[in-house]
Amino acid sequence: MTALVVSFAVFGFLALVMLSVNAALGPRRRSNPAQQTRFECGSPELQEGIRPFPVKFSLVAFLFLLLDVEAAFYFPWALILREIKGPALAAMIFYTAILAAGLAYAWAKGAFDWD
Amino acid sequence: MTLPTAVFPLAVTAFGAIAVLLLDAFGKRDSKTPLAVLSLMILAASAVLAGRLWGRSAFGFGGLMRLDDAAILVSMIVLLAAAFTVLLGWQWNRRLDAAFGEFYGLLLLAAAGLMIMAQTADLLVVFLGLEVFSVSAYGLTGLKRNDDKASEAAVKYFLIGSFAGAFMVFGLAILFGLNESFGITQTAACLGTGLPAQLGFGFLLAGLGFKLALVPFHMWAPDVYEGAPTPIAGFFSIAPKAAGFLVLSRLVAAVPKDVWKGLPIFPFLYAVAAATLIIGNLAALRQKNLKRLLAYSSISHAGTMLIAVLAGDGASLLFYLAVYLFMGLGAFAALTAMSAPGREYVHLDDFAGAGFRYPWIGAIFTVLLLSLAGFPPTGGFLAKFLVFSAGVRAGLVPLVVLGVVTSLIAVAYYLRVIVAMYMRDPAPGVDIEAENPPALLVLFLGLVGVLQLGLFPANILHFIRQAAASIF
Amino acid sequence: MDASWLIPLAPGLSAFLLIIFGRSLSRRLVTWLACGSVAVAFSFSLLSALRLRAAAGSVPYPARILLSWIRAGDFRADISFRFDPLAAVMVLVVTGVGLLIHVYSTGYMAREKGYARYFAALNLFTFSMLILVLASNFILMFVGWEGVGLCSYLLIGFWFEKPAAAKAGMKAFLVNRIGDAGFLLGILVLLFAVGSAEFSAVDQAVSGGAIAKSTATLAALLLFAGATGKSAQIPLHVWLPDAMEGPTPVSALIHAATMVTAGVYMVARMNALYAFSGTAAGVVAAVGAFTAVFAATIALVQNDIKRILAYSTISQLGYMFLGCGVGAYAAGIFHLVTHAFFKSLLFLAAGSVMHALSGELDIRRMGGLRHRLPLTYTAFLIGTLAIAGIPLFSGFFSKDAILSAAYAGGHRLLWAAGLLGAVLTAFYMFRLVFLAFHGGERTTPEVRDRIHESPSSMTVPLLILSGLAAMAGWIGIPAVLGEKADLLRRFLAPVIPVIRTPHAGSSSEWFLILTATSAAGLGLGLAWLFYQRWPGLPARFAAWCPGLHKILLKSYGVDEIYQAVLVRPLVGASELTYRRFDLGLIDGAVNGAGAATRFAGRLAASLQTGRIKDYALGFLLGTTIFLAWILL
Repeated sequence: MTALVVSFAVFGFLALVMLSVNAALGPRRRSNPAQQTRFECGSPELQEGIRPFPVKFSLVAFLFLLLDVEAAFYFPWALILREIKGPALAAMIFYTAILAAGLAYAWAKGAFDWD
Repeated sequence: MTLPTAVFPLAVTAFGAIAVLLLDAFGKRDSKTPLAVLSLMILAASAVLAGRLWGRSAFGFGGLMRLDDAAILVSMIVLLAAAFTVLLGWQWNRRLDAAFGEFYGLLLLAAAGLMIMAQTADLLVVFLGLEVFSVSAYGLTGLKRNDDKASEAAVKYFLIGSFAGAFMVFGLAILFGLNESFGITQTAACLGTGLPAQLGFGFLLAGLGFKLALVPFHMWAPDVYEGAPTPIAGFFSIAPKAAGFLVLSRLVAAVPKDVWKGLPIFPFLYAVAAATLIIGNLAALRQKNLKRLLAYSSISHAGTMLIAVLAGDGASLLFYLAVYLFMGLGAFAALTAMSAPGREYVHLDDFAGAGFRYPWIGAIFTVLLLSLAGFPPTGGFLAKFLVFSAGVRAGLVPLVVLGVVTSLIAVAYYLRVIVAMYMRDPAPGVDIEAENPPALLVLFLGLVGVLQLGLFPANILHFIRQAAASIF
Repeated sequence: MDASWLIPLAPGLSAFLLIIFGRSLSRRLVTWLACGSVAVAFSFSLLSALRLRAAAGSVPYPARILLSWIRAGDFRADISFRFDPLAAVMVLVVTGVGLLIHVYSTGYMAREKGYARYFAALNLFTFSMLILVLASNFILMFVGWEGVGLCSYLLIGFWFEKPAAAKAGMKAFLVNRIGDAGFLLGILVLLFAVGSAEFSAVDQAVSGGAIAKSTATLAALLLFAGATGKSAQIPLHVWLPDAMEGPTPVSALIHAATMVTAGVYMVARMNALYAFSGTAAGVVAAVGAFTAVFAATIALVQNDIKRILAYSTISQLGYMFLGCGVGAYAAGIFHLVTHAFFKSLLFLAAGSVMHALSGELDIRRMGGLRHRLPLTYTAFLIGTLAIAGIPLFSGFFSKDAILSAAYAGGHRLLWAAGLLGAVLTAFYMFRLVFLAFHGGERTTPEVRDRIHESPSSMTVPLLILSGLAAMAGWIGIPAVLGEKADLLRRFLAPVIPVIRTPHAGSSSEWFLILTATSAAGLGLGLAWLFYQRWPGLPARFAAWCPGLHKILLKSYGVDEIYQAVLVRPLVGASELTYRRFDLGLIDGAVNGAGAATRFAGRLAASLQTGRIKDYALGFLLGTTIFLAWILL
């Protein structure tokens, strides 16, 4: 545990030193034209790197991730279902109902309408 | 499976939140007023259920729930704050181009999260409650989707909030590693054992300090208050403080008194309190935006409350919270009342001469500001007085002196608002829609609360002492 | 039946009515309500005081608990009053002088548009002041203490259209708050040491030896810090001269007769504590004596009639503290009473002059007014004779009581300072009289044509106060002139034990009377030489030592020093905090472009300028400091 503490101190200190050295020695100006280019090293870019794309993508991805992670709870539940039976079933139905409510909410709010 | 009655107040709020969200999503009606009414009913039901458990210290879920009197009192404060916020948002939600039904749902959810924090003696559950509150809070901050400032504030809040959350989890992990328990009592018992425990506790405090807006974890507060809808900012100024300070004092109360002052945590919190008092008040001096001003004011009040925590005096802390509920939210109610369709007046110049144009708002706002500044015979004075005398009794004399001196500075910025309202000519172009009965109701209730707690505190102090006795 | 607790009721009720309905009431009704409520309070005070006198001090004075306020464990504070002789004297002064000034105000403020607002604040002030003097514990006293400060602020800034008035109000308020912080800390110390905020409990703790001497000194000094703020003593005297921006009756009531004496009252009320801690009493005496001379020197050269009176008030308050400090608490209260009469008389007479001269304040533009304003002149002259300590007028007896106590207590230096102050007082007051009322007329012709004596609502209070200023001294005749003539001191004896007052023998008493008289005579004579006999002399003196003259004119530059030493660093610190810790959302409108892209751009910008990074860094820094803390 002391090792942990010491490493905290050392790395925390190092981080501070680096930040302050950076601030002290680095150029006052935050940016220069070369820095503003895509690759910061002079090679010209062929096209715009990031194009705008509909925010809907991330929304759907987000919802998928959310439900996916919640579904992970079903696995341990399935393993002990035989032991606890009724209460476990009731608890999971309850849990699923809340999830379903969330899905229904997202649906009703139009999160899945593409246009 | 029998459900313990302890869970009812929380369950009503949480499921109420889900119900309100679903109703908003599926309801065809444009008017959000029924949602507001429903929210108020849910909050009232929850409060009644909690009140019936007073004096009975109900437990549930193998000790994960602990509904003692302190938890009930803090839950009441949170519920009342939420109810005030609903009233403040009433008109706001009718006024903007798009009405946001999420306002009510997320608000209830945030309140539920804070109730979870208050009603447990288990640090992991505290974290759960904190996150439930936080996620709702990010949403509430960015409610005005088309407003640049709101979006920016929400993103900032979210980023720094996650950062703080990570700190807290890390601290919890260390503490769990040492104790194999998340229980507050067990955790506190190990505090004197050595460095690692201190470390874990320190990280935990950083996370809590963020929610309580203690210096140096406070920087988000002014931005978030400024960006968030005014009623929501009012909710943020009191409700998380109530729950967070209760958790903190539960931790402090669980440490034996003789150990407590020897811990390195103690001087650290001491320094945090001092820094919070100084920075909160000094930065407020320069503010022209009243929402930012009130944000810094709430930071400085958190500093004062921390004195009560350090002194280990639960009664004065709870009393301070109760008073702050009325004066803090009352002040935000005055800001809410000072708005027109699609426009908020939050600049100091907008308030020029407001005392004469809107005599009722002006007069009540003046009393509330005086209470915030700690003038007798308002509740603000008594709250400060109780905290300071508890501090002196616990031997925190330098901190109390600092508290008195900084509250002196505080008078200058509160007074500036009063001066603007009564000693300047009315600002041109400020034309509020005075028809905002719910906000005026909150304003009035704030006044009543501040005077009631200042002049006739005996009854409430009785309950508060009972609650404070149950903190441990 | 004991009706003393009813005294504050009427002014409080009237203030409430005037605040809520003031705008819709007729002036006539406002007048009756405001003056009537104070008249009721005065009659209650008189009845209660007579009842008290009939009971003749044999009874203890029980605190009457009106409402149990705070009960938190062993700590309790109640809304409770105690009507004892000291409170009786104060209540009579507050309601008596208050009544006269209310009546005077009806004439003086007759054409003001904020008539109801004015009387609301004045009644509220009376109410708070009565709470202050009747309170039986520190916490309730603090309520009144803050209340009078607030009303004073409201009334100084009454003409808020004038920037100077608004600023003066703010200054008074903030300077007072500095003192109040000390006062509050003093209360906390006493609460910690004694366990109760009741005056009687503190007295018992002192007499029972339950409180350490060092603690008592600390508490007494902190409380005195509050007194220096409220009673405008050095170093917190700077607000009072500026407070003269308020209406003149306000200056008379609040900034001369009542509120500013709250500090003296508090010290007298706590006489056991101050007597117990010799150090604190010494500090009180020294600050009082120094202030008495210091303020008097400034008054020598001022040209604004109200500022002269303001510095004179500061100086006279110094005398009261000097009296309390040397143990003559009763003499301090005696001077408080006579001062309330003659100083409010002087202010009201000055107000009458201003009324006549269309608001003129500069004595260099007055002169020869005694023929045009004979009544005002007489009143002002009586006030001057009283304050200068001319024998048989009230100020003579009270000042003599203080000086003889200082002498008898062996404080020769303080006594000498007091004597010097007496010379200066007589000088600047007669300078004022000679310049304003005697000599040639220096008023502008258009002002001169409109000079008129004031209406009877203003002159009647002047007459009554003249009588009081002339004769109030008879309640405290020194022992050499009559064995049992010292009425006031004997009346106060239950609260302020007579033993505590140092006493001079009869031969030195005659010597002291003689020196005090000659001091007054000297000042008067010098003023006559300077401003009547050889009017060119003052200018020659000013030319002779221009530095001194300038320093006096600038009041020793205390304001400038505070500005440089306190205000600017504080503003700087605030500025620094603001810059360092308050980064804020990006402000300013960008036109064109859709909101969404604008936001994205700004967000990027905000990330690049490192704002969020800064926040996180602050967070990290805090935690790191904590880690370092545990490790080291």
